Amino acid sequence: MRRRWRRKHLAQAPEINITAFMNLMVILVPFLLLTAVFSRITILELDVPKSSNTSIPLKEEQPLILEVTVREKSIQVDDQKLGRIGDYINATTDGSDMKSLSSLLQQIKARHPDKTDITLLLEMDIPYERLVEVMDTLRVVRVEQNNEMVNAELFPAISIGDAESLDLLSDNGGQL
Amino acid sequence: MERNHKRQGQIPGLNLVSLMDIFTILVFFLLVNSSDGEVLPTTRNIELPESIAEQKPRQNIVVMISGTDILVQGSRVATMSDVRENSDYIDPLINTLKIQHAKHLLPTTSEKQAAQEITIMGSKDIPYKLLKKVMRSCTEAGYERISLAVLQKAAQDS
Repeated sequence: MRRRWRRKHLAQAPEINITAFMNLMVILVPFLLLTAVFSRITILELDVPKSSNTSIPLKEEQPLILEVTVREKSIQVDDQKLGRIGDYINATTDGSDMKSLSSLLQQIKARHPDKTDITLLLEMDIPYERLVEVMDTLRVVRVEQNNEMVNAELFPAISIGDAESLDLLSDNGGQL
Repeated sequence: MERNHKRQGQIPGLNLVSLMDIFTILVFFLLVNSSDGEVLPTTRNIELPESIAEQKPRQNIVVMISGTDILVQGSRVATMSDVRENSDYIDPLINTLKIQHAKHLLPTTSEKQAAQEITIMGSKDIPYKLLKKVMRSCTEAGYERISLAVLQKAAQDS
């Protein structure tokens, strides 16, 4: 009697009723797929002076005050005391201007390794995308180390300001 | 004949085991993926610029600038017609931010520090002069640490 019972139950595979579980999965998977965020948002921090009214006292001991001016057609790197460093970089759309800016900044960084702050000056009509692109270039550079690409820090403390208009510059004979 | 008929009457058993495996793994992956820190609101109408920045956003006040409106914490406070060409500030924005600032100043001192921070989510084609006015308004209202929200992209190796 007992033997017959066992044989009968072994013959057919035990079946679990998974219909309820399937229902749950079918609802849950499309829901999560729809809400999933595949693009990650990060932030860029700005180094804003304490208040726009108070002027920052020029620190005498600071040997170098770097400024990068982004215009519609060109980019230039200045020291506030010594004047222009390097050549004008013509603005291009394929990213080659960012490469030459990056190599120029790397040379400056090699000479002044402790320097971390830089001022970014922009013309009024520069789009936001361009600003972020230049900020990325100022912050880090990709360098190869032990056959691995790593981020090397350039000037991560970035402040933002207005570029002097070109009309004003030509009145001064092009001097800053 | 009889036997054949009987066989057709049975429901053919679907083997759902592999499907269940996929679903289970997928559900766990998506659950874990969706749970990690959703700090900033999603942006349907704002196209953020791309950047290689890696810093995670913090919980603070969010100012969004789309092509037509300026929103604080999701509610519209100003339109482009409020942005005046000759003024350095956007007045409705300053007023809203000052109210927000006063609300956040009441708790303890450690939270006071956090309340000074603000995140700007700007559409990637807005001009710098608009961004500058928004930033000026933020500092005027007492938010002195400004962060710009960007979409993370993989750094290309060249």
